[in-house]
Amino acid sequence: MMGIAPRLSVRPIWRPTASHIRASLTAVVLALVAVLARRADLLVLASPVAIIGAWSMVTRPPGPPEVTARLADPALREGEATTWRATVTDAGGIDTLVAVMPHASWIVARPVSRVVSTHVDADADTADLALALRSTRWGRHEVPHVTIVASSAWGAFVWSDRTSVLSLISLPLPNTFDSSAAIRRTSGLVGLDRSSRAGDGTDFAGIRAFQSGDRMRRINWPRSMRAGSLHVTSTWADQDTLVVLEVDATDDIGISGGVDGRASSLDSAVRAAGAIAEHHVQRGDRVTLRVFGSSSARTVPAASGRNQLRRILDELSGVRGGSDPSGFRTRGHLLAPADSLLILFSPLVSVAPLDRAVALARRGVAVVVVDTLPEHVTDDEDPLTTLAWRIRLLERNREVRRAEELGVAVVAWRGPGSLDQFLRDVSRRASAPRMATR
Amino acid sequence: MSTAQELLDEVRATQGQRWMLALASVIAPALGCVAIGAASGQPSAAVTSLVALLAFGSSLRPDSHVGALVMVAVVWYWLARVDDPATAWSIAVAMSLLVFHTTTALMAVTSRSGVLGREILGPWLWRTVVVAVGTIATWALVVVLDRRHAAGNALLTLGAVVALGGATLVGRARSMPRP
Repeated sequence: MMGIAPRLSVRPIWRPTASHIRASLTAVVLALVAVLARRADLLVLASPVAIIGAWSMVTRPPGPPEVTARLADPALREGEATTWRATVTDAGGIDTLVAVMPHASWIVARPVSRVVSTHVDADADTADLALALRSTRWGRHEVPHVTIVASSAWGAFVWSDRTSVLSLISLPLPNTFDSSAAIRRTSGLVGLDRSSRAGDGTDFAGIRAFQSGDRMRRINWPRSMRAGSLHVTSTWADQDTLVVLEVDATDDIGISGGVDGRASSLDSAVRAAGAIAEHHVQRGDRVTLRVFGSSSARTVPAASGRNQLRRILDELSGVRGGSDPSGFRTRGHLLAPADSLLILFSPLVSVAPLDRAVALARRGVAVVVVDTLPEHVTDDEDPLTTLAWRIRLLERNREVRRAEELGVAVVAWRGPGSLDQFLRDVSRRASAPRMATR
Repeated sequence: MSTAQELLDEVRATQGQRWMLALASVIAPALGCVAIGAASGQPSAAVTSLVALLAFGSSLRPDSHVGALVMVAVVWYWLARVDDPATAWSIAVAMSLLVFHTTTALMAVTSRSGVLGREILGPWLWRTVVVAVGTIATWALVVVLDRRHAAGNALLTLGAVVALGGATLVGRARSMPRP
């Protein structure tokens, strides 16, 4: 898909430059003085500018060109590059084309000067200008207005226009994530995990007497021969898991250095959520996403498949920290099914996310909180700020301990295997009797 | 951001190629003044410095009309000091004006932080050589006419003025902004 910018409504025109005015006036005045004062030597001095002036007028461009700007790939992963390209048509008479792109947040351009220029042959009708762009952070970025300046021979006439703003969606680059622990929570009948129900799966459950409806290929002939009656090999059904991803975007703690630098709390949350979503989608699980504190992100309903991953990454790229002041209050009523796996990503600088996690855990939901607070948050030149952070972190540790006592697992994000211990605990608890508030 | 900071950022972003163009646009008219001083035998450091100063101002803002002042100053200096219409020094001065105008025009239509490739510099250089050859041809024509020592002709002068006026009107019409 190509994002094509529409033209601006007011059509700019070719205008003479100071250079052309200087050349023309100097030539005329010198020639006049040379004739009237009988100073032929002034004709020699006037010659360069007279020739240039005449040349400029003869090669004046016939009409204004058309500019179309586009991005080769308007949606990419953070750290990946695309090409901004402007095509100038009706380029007759253009000698030099220059494009100047202003600075834009989280977009790095090559060349670094953000200026590209090219010469247009006299017989060419179209010309191209290209800039390589690299997104250095996830998010919905804007490629700003690019000023295009066309000039005729000798820089005598210029035409200038600005392209429209183009949107560049930079999907989060998920951290590497993998989990070797099995999940045994839901009662679904599709997916890769072992269901709590017997069914048409692959995991061996036992051998039982033949019942009406059993498939012939399930008959265990050795056992049937010994017992004298038909017996079948029963299996556990394969299940999927409903994974609920909740991102705390009420604030963005720490300084983001983009994909190549340090990660802020929201960077870690978005990338970790993307990684876990990718992992579970590939396993065939259903994944849903909820974002708190960001006005631009919507809830993504539960579904599975590659398109669902794209939807989740797309919504994650639209997260803007602190843009929704109501935070957890707006969507705090959203519940999760008791057999789902809820993963909450939060820096835990406020008690609201932990309160929500505890409330859900009391309803029987398996909740794990991924702590996304960056380590560099206490590195501040101001000693008072550092002290305030130390005090807050002590309080935070106490809040986390209390939440853990109430059955909420809090883990730090470490990439692959971060959730393994928690998932094994969930699997063990699933086989034990439990009491839940309904 | 302060104006001084903006200026500093602008200087930092300026490419070496741009500095070379600016240097050429300052040196060329100054050398023209030196040539006028050599032609007349009366060099003037004050005028040369003034022209260089104006050229420096023009190099800072090549899209302004300061460049016209540079040309006026050089021509005025020539008129005031040199009386020989066939002197070869006029070629040197014309070349200095050509280099000044060309470098200033090139700087005016390009960005100071951008690098100009050979595909841009090549045609500009080629065109400059063509104009230089045309200037030398004009000088040769002037020398030939000067050696004939022809008497003045009012009708011819009037015709030249009228032709010049017509050319000016045509040039103006072709230079006006139009869509």
